Amino acid sequence: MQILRNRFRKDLLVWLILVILIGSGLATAIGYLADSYFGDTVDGLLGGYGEYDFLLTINQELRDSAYKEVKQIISNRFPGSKLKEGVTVAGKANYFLKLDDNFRNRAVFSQFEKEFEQVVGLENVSLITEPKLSLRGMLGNTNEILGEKVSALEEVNFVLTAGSGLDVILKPNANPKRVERKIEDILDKHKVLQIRFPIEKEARELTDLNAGLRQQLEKEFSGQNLQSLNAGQRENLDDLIKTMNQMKKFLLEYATIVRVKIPDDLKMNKSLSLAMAGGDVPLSIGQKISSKTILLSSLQKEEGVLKAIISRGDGAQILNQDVYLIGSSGRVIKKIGKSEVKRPRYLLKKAANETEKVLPQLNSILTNTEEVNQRLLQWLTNYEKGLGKIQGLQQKLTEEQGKLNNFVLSNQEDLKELLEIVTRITDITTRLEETLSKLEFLQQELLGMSSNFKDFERDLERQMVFLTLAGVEDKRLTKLKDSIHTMRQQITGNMDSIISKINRYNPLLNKFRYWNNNLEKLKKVLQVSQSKSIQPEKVEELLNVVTRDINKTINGLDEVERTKLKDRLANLKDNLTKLEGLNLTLVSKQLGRMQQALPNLKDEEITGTIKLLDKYLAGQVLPGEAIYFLVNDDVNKQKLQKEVNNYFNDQKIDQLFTEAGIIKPNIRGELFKILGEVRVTLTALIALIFTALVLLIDQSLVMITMQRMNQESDNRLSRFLNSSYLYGFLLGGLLLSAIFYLSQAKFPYLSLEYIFIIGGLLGVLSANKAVAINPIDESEILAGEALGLNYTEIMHEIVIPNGRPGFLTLLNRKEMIFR
Amino acid sequence: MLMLEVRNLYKSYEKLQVLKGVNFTAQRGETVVIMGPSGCGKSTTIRCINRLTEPDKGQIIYKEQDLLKLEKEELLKVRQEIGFVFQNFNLINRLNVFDNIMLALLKQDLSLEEKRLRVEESLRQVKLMDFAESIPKDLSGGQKQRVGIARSLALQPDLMLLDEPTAALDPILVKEVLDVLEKVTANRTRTLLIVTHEIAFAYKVADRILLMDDGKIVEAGSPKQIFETPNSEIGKKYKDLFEYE
Ligand SMILES: Nc1ncnc2c1ncn2[C@@H]1O[C@H](COP(=O)(O)OP(=O)(O)OP(=O)(O)O)[C@@H](O)[C@H]1O
Ligand SMILES: [Mg+2]
Repeated sequence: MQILRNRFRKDLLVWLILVILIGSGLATAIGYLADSYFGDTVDGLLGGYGEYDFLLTINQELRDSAYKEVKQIISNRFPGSKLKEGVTVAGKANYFLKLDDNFRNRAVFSQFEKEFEQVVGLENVSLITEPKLSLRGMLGNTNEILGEKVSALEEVNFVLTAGSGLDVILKPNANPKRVERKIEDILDKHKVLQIRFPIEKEARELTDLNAGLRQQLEKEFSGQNLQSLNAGQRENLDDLIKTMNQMKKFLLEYATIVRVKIPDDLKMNKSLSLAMAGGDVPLSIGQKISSKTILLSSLQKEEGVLKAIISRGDGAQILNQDVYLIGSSGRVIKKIGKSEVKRPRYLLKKAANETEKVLPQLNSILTNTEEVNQRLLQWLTNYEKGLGKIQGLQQKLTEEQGKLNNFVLSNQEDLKELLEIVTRITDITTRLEETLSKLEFLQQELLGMSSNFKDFERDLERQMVFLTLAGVEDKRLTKLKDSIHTMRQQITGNMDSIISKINRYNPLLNKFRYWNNNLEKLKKVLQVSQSKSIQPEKVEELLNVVTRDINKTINGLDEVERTKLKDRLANLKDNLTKLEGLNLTLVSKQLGRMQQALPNLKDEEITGTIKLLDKYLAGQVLPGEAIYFLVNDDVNKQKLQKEVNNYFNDQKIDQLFTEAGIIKPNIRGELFKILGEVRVTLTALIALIFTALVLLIDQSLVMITMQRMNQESDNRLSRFLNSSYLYGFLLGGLLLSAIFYLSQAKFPYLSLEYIFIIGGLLGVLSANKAVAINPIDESEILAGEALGLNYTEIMHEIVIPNGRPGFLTLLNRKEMIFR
Repeated sequence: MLMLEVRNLYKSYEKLQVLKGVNFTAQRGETVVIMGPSGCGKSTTIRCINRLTEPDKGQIIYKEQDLLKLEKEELLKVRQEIGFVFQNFNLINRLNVFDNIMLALLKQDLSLEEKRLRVEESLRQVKLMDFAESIPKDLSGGQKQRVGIARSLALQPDLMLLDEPTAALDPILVKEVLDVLEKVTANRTRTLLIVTHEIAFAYKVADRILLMDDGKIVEAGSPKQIFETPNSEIGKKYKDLFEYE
């Protein structure tokens, strides 16, 4: 480096120091500014790293009261803790909480959310304490088992189980990376053996299997090395599968089902399919099917009956019940038979269309019942009146009976008296008979109404079922149905007992009619006797007949439980009033909604969806239908798998080993890390740009003169040693790495050696572009040389003053003699 | 007294052999003019003398010392005694006329006042006293070259090397430069080595003319001798040219 033998090296040294100081100062300053700017922003959103323990999110509308309550709880339960308001985003106010050190322990942390359970408006409590590591994806109670080992680690403060994971709270000055590695070691030493069963397996069966298998395995392997995990921890996927299964079931309930008896000798295969005539296009043997033909997709065959759903077309389009066999060419081969078509959705639609009728139905039921009730009561009053009268007459009749028994119709007077009595009795009995006949009629009406009620309830219930199937779950509707149900039970219960009570009148009624008949006859005979001639034998005979059962009959009438009947009727009336009190508009609204909630899908769409679901469900296992074991790494896995296979003999099971857990990237930590990286990267960028600039602007001058001097030399080595490229490389490398070192700038993944090389390359670039950047006047340099000026003087007086303004020109000002 | 002796000077650029053994001398106070066809190596020769161009081999004996053997520092000192006038003036554009000349005196062991006097003296010699404050770009070509000559004169050199001082000037301006040079040579106090194509000027001022061709001095002699009875091919051509003028 010839140039360094020169006095000019002093200038270079001063320049180098100045540039390094300014460069690293500048880079640090800008990095710091960026850091504080972004840092402040993030602090507002997330709190500083490790500054707070919990983030409380409060609904903005309930902010005041919730905040007050939260504050109260904190000052009562966790005195000395700090609550700071953060930003409010999307209607949620955030508060950061720093717990007093006394409370930074497992007991408090694990119960923390519970403390605030009662606060209305507090929507979420999240753990944001740092340093913290989170483990996720731990099946069963893996988190509890491994949690013990993790909490035993030196730098770990305590652990919290969180769902199917573990939050590891580190001691304040712990090194998260180091702990992470240790936890990874623990995780690496364990695997989870999952034993999965085909879909048919039932959960209950599994529990037994699990217990048996566990015993078997624990015998074989030490318990330390192999632990059973409570199976059945639900994961999202399992939930999804369960939902899909539900959906499939629902769709199947809802799809049109065609059942057809299949001849035993018919073997269905891929090239054959089943179809029914659709639209208005009938099918005939040998003909091609049309686009309207309904195609079937078989579900299952049981006892020769094939159950199928529609894969093309819709149940509503089925022309007739005939099912045909179709060949691969699409031609009809033969007719298989008549099918039974069940179209629940179609029925449901119908039912829904009748929804509007349901309401008037209810109304008319109510009014009818009311009317009947009224009439029953009316009847009862009449009946009692009649009964009272009849009882009065009964007395007389009994009195007369004695007379009648030995009655010798001696004179007209006696006859007249008897006739009078009989006439009065028959008047009453006729009315009574009328009344009793009315009762029969009322009974009929009651029976009809009772069945109306039952029908109505059944209709309502059916619609409810369909609605539930359709996913419509309405609390008010359920309530209505329930109250109608109880009401109906009461009403029909009443009615039934009324009807049965009325039934007990029937034999009485017959007897009474018979008696009444005889009375009428007696009356007639007496009338004849009065006008023509007395027929004493006949009168006597009839009188005997009439009086024989009089007591029995009359007493029988009285025996009827009128009070009970009255009570029942009053009850019925009550119930009806209650039923009337129900909000019928609401009922009609709900029923309207039922109609709208009916899914609007064609059968082919349903079948398509079912098939799609099947595709997803294929090979999947329902939650709980797996057994998990936590296995220590010491265990011979092949042996274990063999053991398991032996246990299940030839049953179809899947075995796989999965990770015991994964360490979740700490988003907040990462964010802070990224911010740190942003700072160092920004610093690095500034350092880089600065270095490039000073190299290009300042050093290009030096490099040009070097290149000029080097032209003369023939010596390869000296040419190399004095090359501006070498100079640029070394200087650039030195400059950039010094600035990086001082400003603590960093590029991800690049160590200082690489930085040196990057700086070097910048130097080489400057050397390459020197002439373009700082063209110098060759003739002036030549003049200086001719005048006997040395290199330094030429640089000071000629080259640098002519260069672009930079640090070198700045420093040169004091060196320059001719300004 | 021998001021300068060039012996067996060789120089090649890459593969191009430019100087193929140049030999000549110059006495103190002598005005030597070098003439020759373009590209024959005149500039190379004159630049080799103060090692603005480094020769491959040979000797440059200046005041009894071989300049090619000098260390860098010693060479720089010698250069301050040798004035060099460039074809393209090579002034420092950012400095005014005065400072351009002062720059030449930068290393001279003189007081500032003495330097100033020298500058003024040399400006007077080239008749540019009124242009001390001017900057080069405001000067005409002739004036620029006169500043170039003044810069050289300020060194009070024993030897002045002038490489085609008028070649970059249009003919009208040539005269003023040649007039100045005539005066400089007039008193024969310093040795001048002038490369020029100006035949009349050479005839007038030269004590001796060296004819160069293809990297060698092919003929040397008084102007009379060269222009009237030349021996070399080149000399004959110059004779024709001289007669034509
Ligand atoms: N730096 C250089 N690199 C390469 N070749 C050069 C260089 N300088 C001069 N030459 C070549 O050397 C030869 C002699 O050049 P030189 O300038 O000495 O000739 P000259 O006699 O002064 O000619 P002119 O009358 O045109 O000035 C020419 O062919 C020229 O192209
Ligand atoms: Mg030349």
